[in-house]
Formats: sequence, C-alpha cells, structure tokens
Amino acid sequence: MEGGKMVSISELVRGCRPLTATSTLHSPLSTSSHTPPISSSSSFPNSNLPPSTPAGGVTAPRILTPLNHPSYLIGTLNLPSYLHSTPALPCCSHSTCFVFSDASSTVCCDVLHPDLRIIGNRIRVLSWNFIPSKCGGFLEIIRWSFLDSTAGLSRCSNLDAFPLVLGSSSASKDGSKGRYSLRGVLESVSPVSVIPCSIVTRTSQSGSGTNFSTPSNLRGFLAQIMVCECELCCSKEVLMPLDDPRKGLRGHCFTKPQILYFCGSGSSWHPLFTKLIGNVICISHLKKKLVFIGKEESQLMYVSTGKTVLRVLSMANQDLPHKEAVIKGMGECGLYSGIITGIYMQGMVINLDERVWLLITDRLLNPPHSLRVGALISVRNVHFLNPKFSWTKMLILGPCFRTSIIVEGFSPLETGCHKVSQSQSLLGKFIDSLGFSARLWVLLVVSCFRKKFSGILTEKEILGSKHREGLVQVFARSHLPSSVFQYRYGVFMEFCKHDSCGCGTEPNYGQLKLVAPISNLVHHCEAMWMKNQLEGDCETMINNNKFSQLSCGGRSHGRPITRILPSEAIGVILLGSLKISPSGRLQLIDATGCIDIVLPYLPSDCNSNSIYEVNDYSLVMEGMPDQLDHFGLVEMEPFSCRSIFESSPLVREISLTMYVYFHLRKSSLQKFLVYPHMNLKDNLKELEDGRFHMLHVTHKFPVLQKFQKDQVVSDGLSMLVEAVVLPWDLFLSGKNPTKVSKGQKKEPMELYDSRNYHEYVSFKRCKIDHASSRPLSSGLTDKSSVAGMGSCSHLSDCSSANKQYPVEIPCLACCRSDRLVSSGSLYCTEATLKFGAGCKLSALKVLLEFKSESFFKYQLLQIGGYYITKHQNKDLFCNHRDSDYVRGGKFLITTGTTIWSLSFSYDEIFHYTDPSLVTCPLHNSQQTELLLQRSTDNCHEMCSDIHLHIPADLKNELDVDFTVLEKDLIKTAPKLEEVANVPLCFETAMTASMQSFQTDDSAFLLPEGNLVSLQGQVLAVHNLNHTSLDAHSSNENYGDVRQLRLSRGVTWSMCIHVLMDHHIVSIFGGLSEHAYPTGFGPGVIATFHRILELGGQNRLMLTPVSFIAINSMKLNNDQYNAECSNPVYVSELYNVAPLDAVSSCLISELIQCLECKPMQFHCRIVAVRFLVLEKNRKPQPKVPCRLSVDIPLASFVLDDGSSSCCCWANAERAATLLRLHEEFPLKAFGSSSWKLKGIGIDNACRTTIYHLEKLLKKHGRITVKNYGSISDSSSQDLMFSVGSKDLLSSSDENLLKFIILNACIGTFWTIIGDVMDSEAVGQLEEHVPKMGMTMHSMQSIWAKEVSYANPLTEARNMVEELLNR
Amino acid sequence: MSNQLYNTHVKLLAFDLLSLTQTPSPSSSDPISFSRRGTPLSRAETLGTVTSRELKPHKFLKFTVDDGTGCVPCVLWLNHLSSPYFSRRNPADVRLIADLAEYQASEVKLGVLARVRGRITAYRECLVMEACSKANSV
Repeated sequence: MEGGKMVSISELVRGCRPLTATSTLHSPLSTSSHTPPISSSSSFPNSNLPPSTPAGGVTAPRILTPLNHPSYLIGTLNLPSYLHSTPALPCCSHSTCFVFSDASSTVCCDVLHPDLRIIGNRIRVLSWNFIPSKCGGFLEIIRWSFLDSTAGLSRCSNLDAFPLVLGSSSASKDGSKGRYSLRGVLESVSPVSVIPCSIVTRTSQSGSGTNFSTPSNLRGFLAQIMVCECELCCSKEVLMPLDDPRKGLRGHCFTKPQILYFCGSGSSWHPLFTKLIGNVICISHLKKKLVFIGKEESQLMYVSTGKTVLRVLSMANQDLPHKEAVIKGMGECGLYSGIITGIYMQGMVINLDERVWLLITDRLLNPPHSLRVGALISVRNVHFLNPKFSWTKMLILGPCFRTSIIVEGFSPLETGCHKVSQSQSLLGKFIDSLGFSARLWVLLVVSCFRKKFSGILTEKEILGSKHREGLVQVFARSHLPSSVFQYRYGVFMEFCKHDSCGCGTEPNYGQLKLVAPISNLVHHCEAMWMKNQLEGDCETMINNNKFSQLSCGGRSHGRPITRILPSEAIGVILLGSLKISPSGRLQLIDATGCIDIVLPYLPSDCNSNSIYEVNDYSLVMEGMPDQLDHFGLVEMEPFSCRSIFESSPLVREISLTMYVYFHLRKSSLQKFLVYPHMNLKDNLKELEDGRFHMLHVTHKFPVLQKFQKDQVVSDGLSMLVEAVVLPWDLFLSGKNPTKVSKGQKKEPMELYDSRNYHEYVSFKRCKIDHASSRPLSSGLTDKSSVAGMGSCSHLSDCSSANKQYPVEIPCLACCRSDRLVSSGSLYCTEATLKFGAGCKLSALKVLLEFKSESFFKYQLLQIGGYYITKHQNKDLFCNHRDSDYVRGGKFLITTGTTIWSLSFSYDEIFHYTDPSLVTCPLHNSQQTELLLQRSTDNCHEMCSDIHLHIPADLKNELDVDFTVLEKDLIKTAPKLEEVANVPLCFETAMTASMQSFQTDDSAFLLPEGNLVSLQGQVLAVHNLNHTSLDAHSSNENYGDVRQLRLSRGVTWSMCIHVLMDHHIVSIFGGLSEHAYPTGFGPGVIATFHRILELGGQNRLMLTPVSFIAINSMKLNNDQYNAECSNPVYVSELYNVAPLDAVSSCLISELIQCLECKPMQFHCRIVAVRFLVLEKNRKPQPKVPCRLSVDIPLASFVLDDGSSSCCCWANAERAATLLRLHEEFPLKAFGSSSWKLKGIGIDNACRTTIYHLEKLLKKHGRITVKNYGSISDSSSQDLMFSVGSKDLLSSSDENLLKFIILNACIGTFWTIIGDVMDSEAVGQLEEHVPKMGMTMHSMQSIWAKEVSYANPLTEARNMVEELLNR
Repeated sequence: MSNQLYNTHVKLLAFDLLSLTQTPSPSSSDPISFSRRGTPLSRAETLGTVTSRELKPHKFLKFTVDDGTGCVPCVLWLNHLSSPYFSRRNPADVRLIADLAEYQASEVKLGVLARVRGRITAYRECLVMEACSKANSV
C-alpha cells in the first residue's frame, strides 16, 4: 500500500523545484524521461516562480511535475512559533502559517481539513506539493496519516479537548481566572494583530512566559462565536464535563454573538481557527474582560488564558460551502468559493473564476502561501460589491477584518505564491483608506501607469516611496471624490463594531474613469467596431451608402463608415504626451502605443515633455463596412481588469483609421505632469515685455523629402512655412504689466489715451522721441531693441495717398493663459512706407524652416494666421530686413524660438474677458461640427496666445495696412471670387509656379493653370492607384484611400470630390501620406491651398506644394442622414433613384388597394393626431446612436393632394417626421425664442430633439392630442398632458406646439408604408378611445420607411410613367 | 358629387385653379364655394416661381406664383394679432402662428421656387389662395 522513498525537506529545498508527489503511485508514469530527480535544478534555475502567471493566458502554467516514484515525508506539524526550537522562518517571521519540520529542516506548510490532533504530532505526509520560494519553500499537505496512532496532543481528560498552550492541563482546577466557557458556532476570525500594550501582556503571559521577543507587544486575534442564549448555555458553570458534547447541540439556537480574544501564545492558533470557521466549538477556561476598543468604545470579550481548552463539537460544515444564491453586490457579507484564475499586483488582486476580483491590499490580512493560481478557495465573510464603473462590469470581493480566506483545494499548477509586502508605502496606506471599488480603481491606475510610462518614468516616480507621493497617488487623489475615503478604526473596532464602521458601503463610482493604456483603447474601439458591424449596424450604413456613391473614373468606390464614440461612451481617460510623428501627425503617445489626435488649436506652450490628461474627447473610427474578418477581436475585452493587469501585448489586427479629437477647454485637456526642468511660466514671462516681430503665415508646405542637390531643403526631415514679416513690430512695455483686477476689467480704453497718437499724425515728419515721457513708449527703455528699428526714425510722406502713416499705434495686449495685460504699441518699421500708386509696401516674404524638434511650432501655425515672435539681438528677421529686403530668405526656427498666435480687436471700451471663463465656440452646433481653423470668427480672441486691443479710432489705419498687405502681397485670404469654370474659388497672387515647368517642347505636356485656394465639403476620397489597390485587397470596392494607410511614405494617386456651393469639383493628383491630414475624409470642410486650376470640367490638381487644412469636421454619427436630410444636397448630388422597387400610390387609391404590399406615398403632414413622447428609459448603449426620445405612439395625418390618410410610425420614423433631427428653426420660432432657456451662441444651432429632450427630462412623458382640425395645420387644437406632477409651462407648451407646427408646414415626404390590416386597426380602436380620442374613418397606414421627397426624381419618374402609358 | 377632395390640398395647375367654378354658397364662413367639374374643392397646392411680391407689414403679403400655365395670386395673412378672426383662439397659439407667418413671408422672395398650399377664396370676385404653408423644396 503505502511505501516509496522517504524524502527530507532539505532535499526539497535544495532541489528548488516545484513538485507534487504521492506515496502511492497506481500507474507508474511513463514520463520519467522528463521528470528529473528532485536535486536537479537545471530546468528551474530561478527558485522564484513567475508570480502572476495567468491561467489560460499567453503562457498557461504547467501542471506541477509529479515525482516519478512513490515518496513520502515524515515530520511534525506545528503551529507558528509554537515550539521554541523552531527556527524562525525567514519569509514568515510574522506569519500565521503552519510549520512542518523534520530532522533536516523546517518549512511553512498548509494542510487541508486539519484534524486538531495533528498539531505537534509526527505525521507521514502521503500526498503533497512542494513550491520553492525565496526562503526555502512551502509544503502543501494533501493527505497524511499519523505515524504513531497513539500519539497526539497532550489530552485533557476529555476526548478531543486541546489546551491552547502546550503543557497546561485543564484538569487542574483553576480558580476565578478563566472560569468562563463558550459554546457555539465560530463565525469569523480576525487577522493577527499586535498591540503595544504592556499591561495586558503581563496578564496574558501568565501561562506561557517568554514566547515574545518584545514583551510589551501583544499578539492576538479576535474571533466571533455565535452562542446560544438558553438557560443551560448561559449558566456560568463550565460546560466542559459533558460526556458527549454532540448530543447537547440539538435544540440550541446559536444566535448571540460573543467576541473572543486569543492573545499571547493563543494567537498561534490562528491558522487552525481560520479553518474551523463554521464549526461548533467549545472553548473553556476563558476570562471575561471589558476591553476598550476605541477612545470611548468598550466591548465585553472573553480572553484566552494559559489554560484555555478548545474542543470541536461538530465538523458538520466540512463540505465545500455553496456559493451564495443571489449576490446583489450592495456591500453585503457572504461566502464565495471559487478557483483562482489569476493573481496580479504582487498578490493584491486575485481573480476568481475569471469574473470576480478579490482585493487583498491590507497587509494584516496576510493570505496563506497556498493562495496560488489554480487553487480552490473559499472566502468567508467577504463584502460583495458591484461597482458601477462605466467601462466594465465586475464583482468585487472586499475583505474586511472579519474575512477569512481558506484554501479548500491546492492548486495542481506550477504557480508561485505571494506574500503581500509587510512594509507599507504611502501609496499602500492611501489605498487602504479607500473603499473597495476605489481600491481596485487605484490598482488599475497603478497597473496602467506602469505600462504607460515604462521607460519614461521610473517605478519610484510612478509609485512613490515611503515618504514621497508618486504619480499614481497624485492622479488618484485628484480624481477620487472625498466620499471614497474611509476612516480606518483598527482591527478591534472594525471587528467588534463591524456594521457601524461603514465597511462595504460604497458611494457611486460612475464618474471614475479608467486610464487605459493607449493600445488597450485602440483594441477596445476596434472590438466595438467589429461588434457594431456584426450586430447589423453596418446594414443601415450600407443602405445609406446608395445616396453617397459617386462614380469616379468609371469605377465604383465604397464609402467608408464613420463611427464616433464620445468619451462618456468609452469611459476612459486619455493620458499621454503629445508628439509629432515623423510623418508630421500630432499624436498622443504612451509606452504602449499612440493615437492620432486632432486638436483645433495647439497652444504655444505645448511640448513633448508634459503629460496631458484628456477627459472630454471623441474618438473617430473610419473603415470600410466589409472589414469583418477578425471575429476574435469581439471576444477581447481590452478594458477588463484582466487585460489591464496582464502584461500580454495586444496585437492590432485590423487597420481602422482612428483618431481622437478634443479641444482645449479646461476640462478636456490638462497638463497633468510637467517634468521638473520645464518651467511653464517662462513662456509667459517672455511675453511680458520686449519687442516682437509680427508674422502672417501665407502657406504651409507639406513635409518635403530631400532630393539630391536640393538647396532649399536642408538635410533631414524639415517642414517649410511661407510667411510675411509685417512692417509693424509690437512693443510691450514690461514696466507695468498689470494683473487685471476685476475692477479694471471695464477700464475705458481712453485711459491708454490714443490722443497722443493724434498729436503724432499732425507731425509732417515724425520721429520717435525715445526720451518721451508718454506712458506708452516709456516701456521702450531697452535701447538696443530700439536701435534695431533705426530705420523708423525717418518717415517720408506719402503724398499720393494724402495721408500720413502713423508710426505708432497704442494697444493693449492680453495673454490667453493668464490675466496678464500689458500696454504696448505697434511701431512701423518701414522707412519708405508709402501708399497709393507706385508705392510698394515692402513687407518681407520669408520661408520658415522647422526641423523635427520644432514640429510642434509648425503644427501651431495656420495659414492666414498672425503670429509674433520675440525680437532678439542679431535677429534674423531684423538683420534680413536691414540688408536691403532680400526676398525669399529662409529662417530656421529652432526650439529656442517661441511663436505666439496673435489676434486683434478694435475696442471703444477695453472689455476684458477672462479667457478661463469663456470657452471658445469650437463646436458650431452641439456635437455636430468641430471647427479646426480659427480664421474668421470670434473665437480668435479666446484661442490666440496674445490678443491686441486696438482703439477703434485707429482701426482704419491698421486695417488699411493689413488689407493693403493682403491685396498686394499675400492674397491668400479666402475671399470668394468667381473664376471661370471653377465656381467660388479664389485666386492667389501666386502665379502658377507650375508654369515654369513648361518647356518649349509642346509634345511634353505639363499641367498648366493658376494656383488657387478652394474651400468646400469633401464628399468622397477615391484612390486611383489601381495597382497598389489590387495588392492590398481583392475587393474592387475597397476604393478608399484609408485602406492603404499602412503603406507608409507612398504617394497615393487620388481623387477628392468636393462640394462647393452646390457644385462638385474633383481634385486629383498625388498626395503623400505626410500631406494627408488626420481626420480628412468625406464630411469634412477643408481648404485646399495652392491647387492647380485646370481649364474646364471642374477639375483641379494637387501639386507637391498643395496643403490641405481641415476647417471643420462633422462630429455626429449620422452624417449620412444629415446629408440625405437636406433635399438640396440629395437632389443635386445624388441622382440615384431611391426606393424604386416600391410602386407609388395615391392615397385616394388606397381604398381600392387591399393588398398588403408596401406602397410609396409622396405626401406631406397636415396635422398630428396624437403623440406620446417619452424619455428613453432603455439603457443607453455604448454607441450613442439610439434616440434619446422615445415615441411609443405617433399618428399623423398625411395629404398627398388626392386624399388624406392616417399614418402611424415607430419612434425613429416619427422623430424624422417631426423633424427632430434638424436644426431648430429659431428664426421661425420668432418672438418666443427668447424663452428657450440657455439660448446663446452655443445653443443657437441645436437640433430640435435637444429642446424636446430637455422638456422630457422635466416631465418624463408628454401626451399630445389634437382635438381640432386635421385638414388645416394652423387650426389644430393641441392638448397636452404630462407624466410629472408639474404643469407644462406655457413656454414649454409653445415649444411643443411649434415643433408640431414646424413638422406640418415642412417639406414633402416619401413614405413607404403598408395599409394596416383590420386586426391592427382593431387593436388601435381598442387602445385609442382609452386615451380619450376617437378613431377617424380615415385609412390607416404604417410607415416603414421615411425619407425626404426628391422632387427631381419624382418628376423624372412621372415623366417616365407618362411616356410609358 | 363627391366630397372626397373637399379637405384635401389638391395639386392643381394654375390654369385649372384659375378656372374653377365659383358658386355662391349658403355657408357663412365661405360665401363662395369652388368646384372643378362638379368636384367641390376648398384647398389647393401650387408649385412655381414667385413673380411678384407686395408686403403690407403686419397685414398681409400678396404674391403670385407662376407655374408656367398661369399665375396664382396668393395672400399670406400677417394680421393674426389684430384680426378678430383669431381673437377666439389662445393668444399664445396665435402668436406662434403669427411668428411662423412672418418667417414664411421673409422666405417668399422674388424668383424663388415655392410650393404654396392654402385655402381657395375669392377676393373682389377673383380667386386668391390664402397660403397656409409654403416650402422652398426644390
């Protein structure tokens, strides 16, 4: 039977291999060839197993190697520090493990279902696992037998009674001390804690004496036992002498909780007590004490003495406990059993059954060694929590001091064990002060940060140390609401007064967002994309595509689908640094990956050293509808805790175009961390005073590749910008830079009196008096800076214009990012500034070159924008200017050159707006359009770094100047001008440089024409590169350029169809990847700078210098609907006959038509019969395409000129018929519009549904009934009733009436519908009278499809029909 | 005589619309009733170019719609706030309708393509269409 070889512990420790062995091998393993003997350590050079090897992960753990021969161990199992002779185990000095020792050595061990008699006895270990660890190893005893059947603990007089202290005997009659006994069910056991309490130590040491190295510290643990309150149990007599204690259990009701405290040597029984939870035990020889557990709280406890004796009366609960039937996750306490599927974060996070997360952050909890991946554990008295995180669903097990973790079955896998570090950092303390869900969140943050910043920041910077807060803590603190912080009372208080300590009560964590590594985000979005596609979302999109196909070169091109996810739907914060990729794209990067970003405006202080946090953003995905190959993606959950904790790299499988856009509001982008050596204030300080050159950017060139012998492009990658140095320099007087106080904000401009200027004008020849005491020029004390403009000192008349040009214009300068305001002035730098005929303004055209290190600066420049740069001695701009105005000079912009954007306003009153309070209206309407170019509108002031307020009376002077400049020299300002064949494009003064390519050889034809700039809406982008297309895809429909995104550096031949004022122009040519701006694609409004206008056919050509700037992009998901909803677009653009399969029908013909075939009606809405509008209570899907307003019942009266009928529609179609998705026609709402709350710039362009939503938020449900005319829209008598208790206010009622009226006076519809059969009508007839309405005798139809009528198609069909007759 | 089309905005060409039969009616609200080939009509729709425009602020907008077969005189009332006809109705509703009419009036410009729906009435024995809604839909 049992036999085999005896193995000693030291052999195992030396062998350093994870092993499993048994003394009985029934089937000799044939694997002996690859199961080396114990001592061989070749395959395990490292004694430490991977700490968090995931089960089922990338590297699935192996099953423990079984020894190829039967073997057993013989030794003694003891309680920790029970024997004086036991050498202290290095890794478990404070541990609460069992100890197994034989003659050779001692290791920690764990045993399943221990028998009390095992303690201190020599046993034969028959089946076991050995797991090596740093301090030797760890033994898991699966099966054992007594070596000597008579041996056992020194017994008391009764069977199964064990004194807690060896050598003591309860048989000796004790006195008053320890006369209490308790019998009941052991409910919970606290972790072992140490109290520095000398008094208690003295009393408790009476039995054992010198067990503790520090006599003033008292080790002990608490236990709660549920006792019976019956007379017998309450008697103070010792219950010990019951002959058969099991008998006495019947009829008892264990309901009264009592607290026991096992201290001193009794504390070493902790591992055993943990395993006895749920059993009926009897403990005798206890003292009764009143213990202060808090400052003013005391608790009656039974304290163990040296004579305390334990008896186990029932082992009834020995079977595996069953899982709780219903887990609500509201913080309730319970039992959970499961298999460990993953251990992360040094053992602080344990994944059970792949879906439940056990947090062991508290160092006191000290989980057993055998807590390894693969083990079956039961967690008793643990809190179940269901945090409502927006990004994922999960169940958290939150252990408190009543929780015990018991290993029910050892893991058969080769996985290592963990010990939570005993030393506690600041971060550890911080985590422990949080609620459970917040703890998990912080741990996720830790994991994410380590991934995101590996190699960027050190571990210490991320996690902090004992005395310094790390990045994680700073970040977490700033995001966690104060309600998540919990006061910790200590083990005693939290154990005894468990329910009143708020353990397990959790606030709402809905607002906590995950900080996902960028690679996880990308995967998440790809998975969502696939999911949407699979769920048939694509079907509707493809259907929509029939409206949006433009044939190009005889080939049909599929149209990509765009999906936009707002940050709320993703539930993730972006964190990373900004970087310009080598291809010139702005990206947000972390160590895991990068994502393209679109930023309406890049601040001048942007740098790659800062870490930015983006809270409010939208993520755009674009791809072809048939990208459906990778089903595996759908199963991945990149935001699951598992994916975050695991370090397996995610492989990107599909190549969607993906980018994120956000704008610079305070909430959306925060500079989260700046490296210490970066001083932010420097940037502003420079602006305080000094002289600045003004630049006007006229063109940006795409990245140029260096050609051989190219003189213009320097070595390496560089970008060029064409700019004009304006003949005005800005001087800011740093002498009195004023921080604007509130009172000053409305300070009249006259304070900075412009009258001085008039004095100026009166001079025929004016000189700048440097010694002048006028406040404006007093700042110009820097002689050197003034010396630079020596040429200013004499100005000549410009007689032809009969006007003296001013040399100085006073102004006020405001900084964007600070309330810094300084007075300044604009000085003319031109010596020979003249106007009129013959006078040429000598502004300087220059090329600015940006090397890769200053690409940020290139990014922040916009064509048409004004910028300033600080004057420096030996400044290139100055020197250049002085050297006879050489044109075409090139300046290298280094990292040292700062460029600030500039804007102007002309004020009577200096009106200061605090930029921090005003948000730039970058969204032209709510979530529909993102403005990316700030060329002409008001948001200038808000977005520029510095804003100049110039007195209004001087406006003309400067205006003239700028306009003269623009007319004569620059001329790229977008001014619409009719050009032959190309409607509404504007010519630049750049006479086509392409013409210079023209040679005399007429056979060699090169494109010829003018370079123009053109703005319009991009309808389609088609790739014409057939060969490369075929290489990438076999599907000819894959005509989208994005398919080829992976082929870096390739120049694509493409055709861009642009809508300009109802005309489509085609722009074709080669476009390098570098010139393809992020986010460019159908739907955007873009300006194409310097494209070649070819004669005729509305065709233009992209040249190598062409630059595409996106002006605005659509932000809503249903851009197709938006396009289709505009009848103008539909009729002019898409001559596609929609819905042609369904035959048309007049309403008057309906009476004869009894077939249930769908028919097409061309009709309008005359009236609404009734409507039920409801707030959409359905859980919002992650993709925000669902209507926020539900319309469960809608009935309209239709009229097509032949008769009228009643039309019923579902929510979606009813919303279309009510024109809810269209922009709210404020103008038509007339005088009532002011009553719309919150109407402003921002609200002006909102859709109707937005206003309706607000109403429904208030009232929940609104029912509309029309008791008036159903043939005259304006004679409807609408009655409203609401679901809420509030009454519908008159303004709300007006709004509703208007919405209905607006629907009725609207446009013509093409409705495909079925005649409703008698059954359906019968149902309605039942339902409608309940609402207090009568059914009309009209025919009823059910709308199946609703679209705007296309009059052109209609007319064409009609003609065709007539011809066919 | 079918009344089926009586409350329908019948799509009529201008020459048909202008040649409707007018008969004095006993009804007080509509002193004259219109019919085409025996079918009584009260509402019509026309589609055409706006060829004349005469605005009396806060009273009415008179305009004509030319559809190639004739010119339909139309009137868009703007006197809702002063007219006794509307005094019976909820003032808020009247204001709403008035605002809408003002807005529509602003949309009626010479040369635009307009679709006009309204009641057929007679003014000084000439047919006029009282526009109730108008859409530039093409």
